Amino acid sequence: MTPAARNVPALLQGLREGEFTGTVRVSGSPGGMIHLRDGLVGAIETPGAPSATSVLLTPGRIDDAAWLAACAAEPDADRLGAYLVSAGLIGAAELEVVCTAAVFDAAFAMTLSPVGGWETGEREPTLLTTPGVEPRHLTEETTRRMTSLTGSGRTPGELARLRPRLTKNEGSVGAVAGVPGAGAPLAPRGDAWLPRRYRDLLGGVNGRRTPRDLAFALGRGLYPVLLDLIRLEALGLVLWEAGAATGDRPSTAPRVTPGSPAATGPAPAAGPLPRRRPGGASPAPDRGEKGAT
Amino acid sequence: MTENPSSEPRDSATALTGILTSLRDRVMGVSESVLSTADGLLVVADAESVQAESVAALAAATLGVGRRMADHTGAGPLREVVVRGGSGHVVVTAVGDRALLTVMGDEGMDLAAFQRECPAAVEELSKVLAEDVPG
Repeated sequence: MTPAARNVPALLQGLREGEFTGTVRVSGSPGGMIHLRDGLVGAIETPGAPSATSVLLTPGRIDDAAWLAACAAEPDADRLGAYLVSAGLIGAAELEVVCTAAVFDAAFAMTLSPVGGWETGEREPTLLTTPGVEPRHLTEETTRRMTSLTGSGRTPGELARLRPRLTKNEGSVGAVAGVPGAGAPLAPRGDAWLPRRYRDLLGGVNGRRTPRDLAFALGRGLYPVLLDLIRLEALGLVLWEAGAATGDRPSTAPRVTPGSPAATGPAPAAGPLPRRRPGGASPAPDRGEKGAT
Repeated sequence: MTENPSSEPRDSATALTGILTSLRDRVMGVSESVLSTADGLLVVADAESVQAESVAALAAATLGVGRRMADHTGAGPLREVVVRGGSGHVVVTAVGDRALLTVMGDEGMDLAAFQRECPAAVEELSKVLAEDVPG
């Protein structure tokens, strides 16, 4: 079934002509899974960019409980989108925009590093954009995105691996752990004029996260996050940090020790757990080292 | 809570932190990690937002419960405990007999790459920790 192809775009074009329905597993780092329906690209899952599901759930666009209920009510994820719309959780147009944008974004993310190989497989249900994206449009748009980022003197692949940090004008942003929109973390220097989108992004920038990490933390696309970071750099608000961030100096602690039985010793023989009695003390003696010096 | 009775652990702490940082660099989606003793004391952390001491303590409890569950249900020797949340992953795994590694990642964490890279990181950590133990 797998047509001989030089690269993934050529492969997808071939599969389009064959109106293939199924999954293309692409290996590499990060690699990913391309979901095809009648040759059109319905979804792409990759560790390199947030999926449509992430984009919907991370910022709370769809409530987690409602999402789980929808997944239970519609076991075939291919039809989940239609269910979400019929349940009134999201509008059809918005869902299509989110799902289509996620396809383009994931294709862009997978292009940032070399592809190892691929194999085709059965259909695997997933949240889809319908009817799907023409592979040719996907390739053209990805090429356009790659070209648009090359002006900065670094390749897009290099940019995506950097870990931007805030410029040191003033105290740190109260780095809120990847909680998007949690009371809108303040931008440095009271940049009230900055759009909310930039302020949220600045709130996530900490010198440790790559643009990809920021995209996941905020539930936004990788490409738009890259573009925003480039603009924020031009505004003098972030610096692209090269290489691995050293991180803060961690505290160290002596390994525990004095003649205590190893805490990971063999588990007690399988059997019923000790029966507890009201008012009874714990049967196992407490190891009391933690408080001691 | 943490003490540093001699300067020697400091060097090994740097080496250990380096291994944790390197794991974060190699596996897409890994955000933080904590190395702790088997009974829940913090050794080193490559952490930003989590409270490393708390994670260290929870790791011991998590692995203990996981081991017990595996044992009780006949699932064989415990490899690791994976916690999957709505927006992230936590993996707790043993490093030899005396230490635990807890790795936190986002929703998109590359679990395949993690499975590939983790054994080597655990091995390196074990080596450094072994040197750390006086004869």
